[in-house]
Amino acid sequence: MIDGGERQCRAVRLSVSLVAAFALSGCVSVNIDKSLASTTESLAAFSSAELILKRTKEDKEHANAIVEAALNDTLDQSQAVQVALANSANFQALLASSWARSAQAAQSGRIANPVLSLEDITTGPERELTQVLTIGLLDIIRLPARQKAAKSRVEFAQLQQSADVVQHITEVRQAWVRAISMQQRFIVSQQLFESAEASAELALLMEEAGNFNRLDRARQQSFYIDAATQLSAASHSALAAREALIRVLGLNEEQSARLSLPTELPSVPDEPLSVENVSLVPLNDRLDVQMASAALNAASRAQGLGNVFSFTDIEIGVVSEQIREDGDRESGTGVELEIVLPLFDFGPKRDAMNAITLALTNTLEATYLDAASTLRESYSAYRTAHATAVFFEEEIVPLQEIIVEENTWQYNGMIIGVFELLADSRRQIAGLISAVDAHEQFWLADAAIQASIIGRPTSINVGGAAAGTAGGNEEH
Amino acid sequence: MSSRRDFLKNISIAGGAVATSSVSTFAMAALPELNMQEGPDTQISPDPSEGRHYHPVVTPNGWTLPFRMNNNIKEFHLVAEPVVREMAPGFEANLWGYNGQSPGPTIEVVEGDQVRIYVTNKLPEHTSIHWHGQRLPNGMDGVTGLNQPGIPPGKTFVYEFVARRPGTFMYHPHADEMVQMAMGMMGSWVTHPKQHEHSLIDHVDRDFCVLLNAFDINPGARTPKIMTMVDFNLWGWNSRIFPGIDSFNVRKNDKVRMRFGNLTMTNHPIHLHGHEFVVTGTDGGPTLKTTRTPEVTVDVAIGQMRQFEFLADEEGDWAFHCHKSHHTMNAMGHDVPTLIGVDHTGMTAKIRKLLPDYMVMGERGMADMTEMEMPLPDNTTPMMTGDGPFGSVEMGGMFSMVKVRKDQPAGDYSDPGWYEHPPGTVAFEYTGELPDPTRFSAG
Repeated sequence: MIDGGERQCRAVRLSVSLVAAFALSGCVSVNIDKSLASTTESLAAFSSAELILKRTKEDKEHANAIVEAALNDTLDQSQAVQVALANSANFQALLASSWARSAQAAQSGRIANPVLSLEDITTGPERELTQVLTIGLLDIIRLPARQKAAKSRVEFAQLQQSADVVQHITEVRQAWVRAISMQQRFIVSQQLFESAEASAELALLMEEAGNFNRLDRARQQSFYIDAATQLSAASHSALAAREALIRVLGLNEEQSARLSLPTELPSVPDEPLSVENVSLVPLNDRLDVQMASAALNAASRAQGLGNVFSFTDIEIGVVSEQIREDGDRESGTGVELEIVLPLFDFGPKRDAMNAITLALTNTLEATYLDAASTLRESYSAYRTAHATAVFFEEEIVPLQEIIVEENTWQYNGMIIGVFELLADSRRQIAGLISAVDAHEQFWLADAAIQASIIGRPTSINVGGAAAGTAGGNEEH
Repeated sequence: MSSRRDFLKNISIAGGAVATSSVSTFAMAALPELNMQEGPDTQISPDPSEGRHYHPVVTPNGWTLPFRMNNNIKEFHLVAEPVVREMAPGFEANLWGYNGQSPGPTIEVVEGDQVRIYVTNKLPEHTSIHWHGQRLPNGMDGVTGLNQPGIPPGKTFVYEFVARRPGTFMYHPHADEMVQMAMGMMGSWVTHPKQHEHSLIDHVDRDFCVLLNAFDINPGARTPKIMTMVDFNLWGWNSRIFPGIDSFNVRKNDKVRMRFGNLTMTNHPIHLHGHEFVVTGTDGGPTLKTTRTPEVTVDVAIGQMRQFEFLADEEGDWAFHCHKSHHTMNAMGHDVPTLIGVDHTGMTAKIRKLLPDYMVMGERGMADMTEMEMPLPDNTTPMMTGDGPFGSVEMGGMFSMVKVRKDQPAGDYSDPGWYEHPPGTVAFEYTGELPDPTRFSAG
């Protein structure tokens, strides 16, 4: 590739041009604080959370204060995001890695260090001392171009960082949704279990009194066993979802114990995001498009360099030689020019460069196309989930309430018995689980569409249809 | 308007039933006046001012259809139509009936009368009337397809025949019969004897006419389920259920006749407390006096009529009901488990967590139900109910009372209120000592 650091040079003495080159190479650098601020700003529409990379004691205290304040209260979704950003070691690792990537990218804009080689050869009476200081001539000639390429790479790293942050925030949001919905399912399963338990207990009493035969009693008890199994599964799922949230939040044991979540997911908004809301981010500003574009930029700049580089490689060395023989001393200085003849690799190298650029050009085009398509799909998933959740809130839950009420009246009128009443209550309670499902789907879709709008589509299933997976994992 | 040709054509098709014009004001002008009934109150008919004289019957919660004499022909006008029937206070049913109510009005004629009945169909489907038990020309028998074409919606047909024999009859559709009867289309018909002194038909002071009918209306709903075969949940007398059935109020020592026709899908053993009666007539006519033995219960089988008479010589409020105990209940579940002896008060809290309004019922029996005020589905009469002077009567369905009072004026059918028992004649709680009984010792 184009990494100047791999080449070997031999030279002696620093020259003025070296000093100049050193000065020039200082132009591309990375300031992580600026980088984080820039990411925060570019994601303002997506999340108002603050990005903190904890390096100093003050950073840590600041982060701790955020976490403490959030844990003192019921944790809402935006607080969950803020806690994760401030507290999660995984997230800190992610930011630090991003910093490293940026720094490495910046490094590529600098020229390779000069090489000093010393020779001391004794041939019989003759001793030859040689000092050669070598520097890649092309390195210096190409410096401005290299710096441009490095800048592209830094830009890319910056975008990658934003994308990673979006991804992480989306994961936090969805983990928060699941932790609550699983807890809701658990509560509903508990009610189911209690209803089945009441039936089973009553059935036992009925059998003891001689009013039920064994078959009647056994039937009622079998519902109870089903409900008990469901309850333990729901209990585990609730715990698992909570632990998943604890992990993305990066809470320790003491903090986990204090984590308090809302008992149910928020109602769905009356007005879902409109098509206009969803299309607010212009295609060219989307993260995925920008990343594809930056990758192509970097590659084409590198290709510009590579063409020259592939044609030949020139190294210049300053040589100082002393020959001592029998007390005599001869010395001389000169310049050594080393040229690599591109006899064998000229064609393939150029081909590789062209191929990379071609691939990235097509990737950019594909990203454009996919972006629009996945946005449409995640928007449909979002609207479908919204409509379903609203339908549950406005139609199905009230219907279930009517059924429960009317059934109680039917029971009062001796039209149905207590077992039928309880069995029907179980059917209605089971219906509540579907309502929880619908809410969960909406809030997962909501998190997904936010990420999709900004250009980091994530996958979510709504009604079994995969949405927003196509552009999800580009790595350039 | 139908032309003379249509008229003849219809005669040839229908045999006897005559098609007239559709229901327009103009066409209706020629028909007997339309008499309608709005409510479920018992209407007492005056003695007839035209035609042969007779003593009118009383149809509890019903009425007798007025007639007009037209060239010596007794003319009636029945309109088959959807009606709203109050089956008990607070419970209304969407039924089909005649002239505003279900059952239709009782038709009273005298043996030998030439009777012409105009039947206007305001139902959404065709109908017909079968004059159950009557001697008449075959073409007047009312079986759609067999004896006549159905009366199309909006059309009026005429039935005409001579009331040949005295007795108690019924009328009901014989077109889509199951559905139309399940919806409440039926009525009573009484043919009084021509001679005032009939060897088998005695003069009575009070003459009551009841149609037994059954409906299946889901608690909270209003319209009967028309496909129900046997599992009816409402057992009515004249499309009323207890406590909606008027009591049979008589004067002490009145001779009382009951005419019970059964248009349900099961039999009903009708039982009177405190008296013995004799069966004086069936659908076939008066019974021979030699066959009349004292009874306290008479089984009125499906499609049957039983006419029985007694001397109301014991004062009091005497229960009068179908002796099938589930027929003296209103709507109830037929699969409600027995909870007697199952103490589950401890579980109430658990069940209330799921169903906050749940109340324990039935662990001692069902009488709890009458003691608790609990919300029921709308438009539903409780399964067992009825306030009496000593508490809840705990009845429903085919239950009423014969109230015998020495001071009930002749011809007055109004409710005299609760019976005032002479002192010492009401069962009472024993509160004295219980001495050890002397028991026979085998040893």
